[in-house]
Formats: sequence, structure tokens, C-alpha cells
Amino acid sequence: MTYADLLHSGDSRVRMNPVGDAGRTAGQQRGRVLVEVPEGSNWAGVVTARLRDAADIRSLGTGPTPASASGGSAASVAAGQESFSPLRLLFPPVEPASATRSFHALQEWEGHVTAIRKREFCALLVDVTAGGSSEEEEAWIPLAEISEDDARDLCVGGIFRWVIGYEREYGTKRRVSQIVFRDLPALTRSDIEAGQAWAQRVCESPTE
Amino acid sequence: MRIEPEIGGLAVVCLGSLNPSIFTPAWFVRRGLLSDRMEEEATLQVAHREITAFDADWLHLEVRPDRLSAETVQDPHVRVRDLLVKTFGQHLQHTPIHAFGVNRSVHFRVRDLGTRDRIGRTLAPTNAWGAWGTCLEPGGEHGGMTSLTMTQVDPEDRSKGGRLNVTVEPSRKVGDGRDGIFVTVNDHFVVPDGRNDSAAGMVDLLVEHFDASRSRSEGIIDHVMSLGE
Repeated sequence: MTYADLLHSGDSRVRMNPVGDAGRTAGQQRGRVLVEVPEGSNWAGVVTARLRDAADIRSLGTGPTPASASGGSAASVAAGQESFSPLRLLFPPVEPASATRSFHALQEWEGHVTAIRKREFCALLVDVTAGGSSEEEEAWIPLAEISEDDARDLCVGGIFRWVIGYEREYGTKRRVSQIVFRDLPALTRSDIEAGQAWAQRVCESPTE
Repeated sequence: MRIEPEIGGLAVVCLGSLNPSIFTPAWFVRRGLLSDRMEEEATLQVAHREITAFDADWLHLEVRPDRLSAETVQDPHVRVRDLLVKTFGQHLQHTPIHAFGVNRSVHFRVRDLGTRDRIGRTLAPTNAWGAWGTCLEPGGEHGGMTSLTMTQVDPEDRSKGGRLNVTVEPSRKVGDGRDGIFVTVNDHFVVPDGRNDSAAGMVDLLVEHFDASRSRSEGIIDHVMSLGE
């Protein structure tokens, strides 16, 4: 069921609430789609959509078929074109697209922490931008470069991405350096066994 | 990429059987998948059995019963991969996921309308359109390519059903309708039979292919950019 279906399902919790003024034609009206929250429910939400009239709602979900099923909502709100996704019409970003913060990497490294001092930590870095696969650089990075949360959790072996790039927001552009610690899954017994098997193969055939 | 995109993002779209109502910011925080700060700053657009959508810092998430899309327009994009690997690898292992796509999209500007038109004509030559094609000359003022999708079927590095779809269009978001280009690469993977009754197959494939997919997509996008030089 799409939201267009939901809106026309007769469910009293879902309604279109036009907020345009009387002097406007139907085509100039704007509306809000409200989804009311039943007491005790574990879901909640108010959906706001800019809709010109009820015909806009009825037309949702009738767009062309995407080339691939997994491509339909790719890069939906901020990065994609406004095309066929009904969700794109029903759930526009709260901020206008031009206000969305975007951050494009010019240079990206992956690092792992090897030592920690009072005001800095040491890391070995892989140049992700250049497609590197082995640690080729060592850097001492001031703790002031990372967030307080990350500094509190910092430990030897921690893996992070260090990105230098341009941040765009509200029409402005600035150069930014950002360190983001990765939240990787804990190793499982099968991961360890797979690692041991790989190490065994490498020992037996060093060219692998 | 040789041209810095004005807007660029990456989304991973998973296809399967999902329960949208559970995917709230609070659910992610309770399981340690997102930080408390992200929950405080999250904008929940809707949470319902048919759809959940919210924004939280770098993440935009939309879940419907048949698909989940996790998207970011902020590097490092690897955060999307890590979030999905933990979500489906540690907390929702039994969710059936039968396919997924790693989708890289950018909007970038070229020097002028003529440059954009040259890229369009390189990808879709107007002389292939006979006499009518001459009506589109010259320079893009009278039309040209508005959308082109090229598809690679069954790439060798994955199971049958995989696809690589590349779409090039004039951008509707940058360039004032004149010098902006939109390129999106949908790298589609099908989880093989026998592994698609849970999320494990998707998680393994995502871990294995994410970096290569992103790198390949950026190479294709960079090539499209090079056509304007």
C-alpha cells in the first residue's frame, strides 16, 4: 500500500488538511497530510507535504518504473533528481534541498590508532582516495581534532576515516577536516576462524 | 573525481520483507547503532507500519515493507555500509533480503551550456536521429539529450540478476537548468537462492563489494566529467 492508497483508504487517522487561503485557486492551494498517533501506539509521526490539490495525491505512485528495483529511491531526497518516487513528493526534506549540508571528500584516509598520548594519538593511515590497500603513512593527530565522545572512547586499535573536503550548506562552501570513528560489528567466532584460515593460507602461499 | 560535485550522495537500497514501524531513531539508539546526539537532532517524518522516514545528522532513512533506503550526502560514505552491516548482521539477522543496490549520485557543473551539450551529444549523437536531429543543433539551445541510461547485465563479479545502471541527465538541482549534470550509478546485486531467506547473504555481499562498487561508480562518473574537457 502506498501513502496515496492510505490517504484514500478511509482510515480516519489519515487526512489531508488544506491550509491554502480562500482567495487562491485550487492549483495554488497547499496542503498538509496528517497521520494521527493512536494512544499507546509504538509509532508516531506527522507527515507534511506540499501538495497543490487532492489530484496531486491521487497521482502519486503512478510514475515510470525505475531501471532497477534497488535504484528507485537511490539518493532520494538530497542527491537525486525529483522524479518518480512518491515518497519524494510526500516526504520532502524539512529543510529545502539547497539548505542540505553536503560534504564531499577531496582526500580520505582510513586509519587505525596505534598509540595514545595526553594530547594526541598516533595512527597508521591508508590512502582511500588513491585506492591504497596498505598502511603507508603514520600521523600524530591532536585529540582536539576529534569529538569529545570519540575522545572518551578512544582506544588502540580503533578504526576511523579522516576526510578533508568541501562542506556546502546554505549556499556557503568551506574546507573541512573531519575524523569519524567507524562503528564496526564486533568480531564473531566465525570471523576469527576465517581470519585464522586466511593467515594459514598466506603462510603456505605468501603470494596470495 | 576531476570536478567537485555540488551535491553528491550514496544510498544503499535493500529489497526484502521489512517492518517499517520499528526503524525509528530511538530503536537505533537503544541498540547502539546511532548516538544519543543523533537521536536528539533527528527529524522523524513518519513512523508507521507502512513507512518510516527520518533524517539524523548524516543519515536519511526510508523504510517501506519491501525496501529500506539508507542515504547520506556527507562523506565518509562508509558509514552507510557500517550501519547496515551492524543493523542486519547483529540485530535483524532473520530479515529476508533478496537484493540490494549501492547507488552513487552526483550533481556537478560544467563550464557552460555548450560544454554540457557536448557531453550529451557524445553520449547520444544527434546525427543518429536523421533530419530531425539537425533541428536540435546547435549548442543545446534547441534541445538534446534529456536522459540516458546504460545497463550492464550480469556483471561477472556477482550472481545472476545483477546489473549496473548508469543514468546521465541535465541536473534540475544545480546549474540553473543550463550547465548542471546529474549522474547516478545503480549497482544492483541479487542475493543467491539459499541465502536470501535472511540478511546474512546481503551483509556478506555488501561487505565484499561496497568499496569496489563505490570506486567503480566514481570512475564512471569521472569519465562522464572528462567528456566535457
